[in-house]
Amino acid sequence: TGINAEYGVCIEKTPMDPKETPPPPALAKKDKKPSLSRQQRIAKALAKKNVGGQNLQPPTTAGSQTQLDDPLKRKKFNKQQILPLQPSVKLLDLFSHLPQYSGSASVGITIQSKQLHPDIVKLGLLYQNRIIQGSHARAAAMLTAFKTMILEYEPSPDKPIAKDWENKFSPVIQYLKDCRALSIGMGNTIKFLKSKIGNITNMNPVEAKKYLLEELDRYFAERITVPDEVIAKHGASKIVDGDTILIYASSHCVEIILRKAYDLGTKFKVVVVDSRPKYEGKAILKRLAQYNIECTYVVITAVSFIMKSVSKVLLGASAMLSNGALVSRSGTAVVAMMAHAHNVPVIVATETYKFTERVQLDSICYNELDDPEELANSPTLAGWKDKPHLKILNLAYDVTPIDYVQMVVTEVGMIPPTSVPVVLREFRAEGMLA
Amino acid sequence: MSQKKEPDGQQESTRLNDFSWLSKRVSDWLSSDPEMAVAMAAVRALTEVIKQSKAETMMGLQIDLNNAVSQLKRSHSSISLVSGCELFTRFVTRISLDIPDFQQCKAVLISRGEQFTKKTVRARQKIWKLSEEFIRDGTKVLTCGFSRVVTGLLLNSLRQNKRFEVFVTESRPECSGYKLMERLVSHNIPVTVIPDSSAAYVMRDVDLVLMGAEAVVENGGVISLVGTFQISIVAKAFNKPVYIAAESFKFTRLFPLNQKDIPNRETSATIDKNLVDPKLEGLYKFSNVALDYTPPQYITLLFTDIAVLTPSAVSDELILSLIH
Repeated sequence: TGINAEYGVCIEKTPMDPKETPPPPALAKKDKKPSLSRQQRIAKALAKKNVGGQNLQPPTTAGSQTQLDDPLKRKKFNKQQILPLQPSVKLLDLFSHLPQYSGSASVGITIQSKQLHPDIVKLGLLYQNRIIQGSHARAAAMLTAFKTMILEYEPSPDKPIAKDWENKFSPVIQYLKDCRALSIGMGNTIKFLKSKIGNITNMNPVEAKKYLLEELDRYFAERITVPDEVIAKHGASKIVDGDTILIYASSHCVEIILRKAYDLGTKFKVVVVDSRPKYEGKAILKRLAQYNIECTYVVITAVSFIMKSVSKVLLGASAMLSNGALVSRSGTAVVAMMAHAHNVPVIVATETYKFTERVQLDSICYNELDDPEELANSPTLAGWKDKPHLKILNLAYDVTPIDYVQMVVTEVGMIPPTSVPVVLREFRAEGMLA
Repeated sequence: MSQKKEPDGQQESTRLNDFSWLSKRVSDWLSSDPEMAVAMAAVRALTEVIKQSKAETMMGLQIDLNNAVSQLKRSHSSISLVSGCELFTRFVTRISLDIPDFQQCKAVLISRGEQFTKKTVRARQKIWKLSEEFIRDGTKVLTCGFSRVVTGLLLNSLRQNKRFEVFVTESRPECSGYKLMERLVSHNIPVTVIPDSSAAYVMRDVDLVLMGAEAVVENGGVISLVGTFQISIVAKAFNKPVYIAAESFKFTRLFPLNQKDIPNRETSATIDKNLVDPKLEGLYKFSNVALDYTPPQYITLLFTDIAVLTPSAVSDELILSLIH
């Protein structure tokens, strides 16, 4: 194991395939560059490599992902990193542009030089180890940690206050991204926070702190808590007596809809569809059963069998894209397409803070890679790292095209998936969008 | 009438009595003027309620309106009436927020209510104007049942000296197709009446399908006369365009997932007694639902007084009306 002196992090050096690209340089290396501006350096490198027509924008806007197979972008990405990236084991060529699973960094990270709040450090580790999972839980935890951080941080009096807060938040966001790629909802929340930080230029520190805390509270209430109640009401109105509702994995919005429908006295049954490796359906199954809802549990391989007796499919979302496509836990697209083949309506329940202007046509372009070890827990795959031609792919999300989604239940009401960009447009016009 | 507890001391019986005349008025209006849209009658009725309301506050007025709306819903079970009422109540709420003074607000509501009835007449004419180019010389139109908007559209094309032919389905069991046939024949338009089952048979010769709607739902689908969905499916199989003509006050925030999900009603029609042995009475069931739901993927365009819209634009309009 190697110990990076500056950060006190233990990096496990695993044996690598010699054909792999060399591990990214550690942050400790100090590059002595001539005093060209960053843009000039990029232009120079581009001219040398003769790569035409690439759009080199800084990759770290919240919510966008770096295409990591381009060596130039990768170099920039590594420079900005706080946690050194683990060397990727057995990289798949087709998926080399996606951020690799960062692996559990050992206990004892001290990021003193960046002065991260301990709650933030904890949050990053919770994300990285997948202890906090699910877009709602992640967004809520992030907002709580941000509020604690704002409360306890004293901005220095000699710096302009907005710049100070910005500089305070940048390493935090970078660290969280290093631990685990941000979800769309988290990205939108961060954009909102950044725009509010831009508003505090003329305030004194006490006022600024109060303002930021109030704005975060308001965001949480207006975009997450209150919409959840409205979504529960609308969604429950679509569940009638005698319905069999099929749900996949675990979603906060779906759960509140089912609970509300039960509270209203509707007689319905639920089929919980679950899949490897995460088996998130088990937790929601337990909670629904404790709530006295009649449940059936199947694995995703049985979904074609069970779909005949299902009347409605209710899905959660990680994001809704502007082309009406749904980004959700991998396996969702399979369930939605099967429902379509059986003429079962597919309803997606989500708050509008997960809507994004991004458009995606497939599940490969933007995605997240999870720990391949999760899938390798069977005896046949035990020695997969040693076998030269065996690689494991564990994708976290998938994209369901618009044709398979009938309706989206949001706080704005029940809208068709074609209206996602309309909602974004209206919110932007109202100034509600960050 | 049962007496209910009344918080502000006013007798509930006077309130409830106030609105039984309303249903009768609405029925009178609808029967006297066959061109009047049901939603228009609803808004006119609610404007009357505001005029005659003895409430002194906005809250009282809104309670009166809500009672009137429930009374109307009980007596006339039609979606367009409900959507007209909803439209007006939403409008009332918005105006009440903009104008704090009660008397002024009331005056504005009354004048706007009266304007609305005029607007709905003009709405149809706007639809005819916007959809002129779709019917050209030699066009063969297939339509279903009797819709005033569609009839007006066809007669408007006639006034523009276009030569076209119309296929009308009978639209059993109410046979409203015959009403349309009579109107068209009186204007010397070539008409063919076809049984509902022949829609697929004639579809090859048809150029476009034009139908009306009772309500336009959130995702751009329509709720209209039973048979509309069937014809739309056949048209889609033949790649013929399906156009629905509907005024914008028919837009509602319903979102049906299937046929059972719509607020349906039954027609008064029954099976033709001459054709069935009376001894078999009660041994069979007869489905006489009045409406069906056509999902948006079967609809090409909607002719509305706002614009000629694609089905996905309907939600756009509804969201705009919600936020603004």
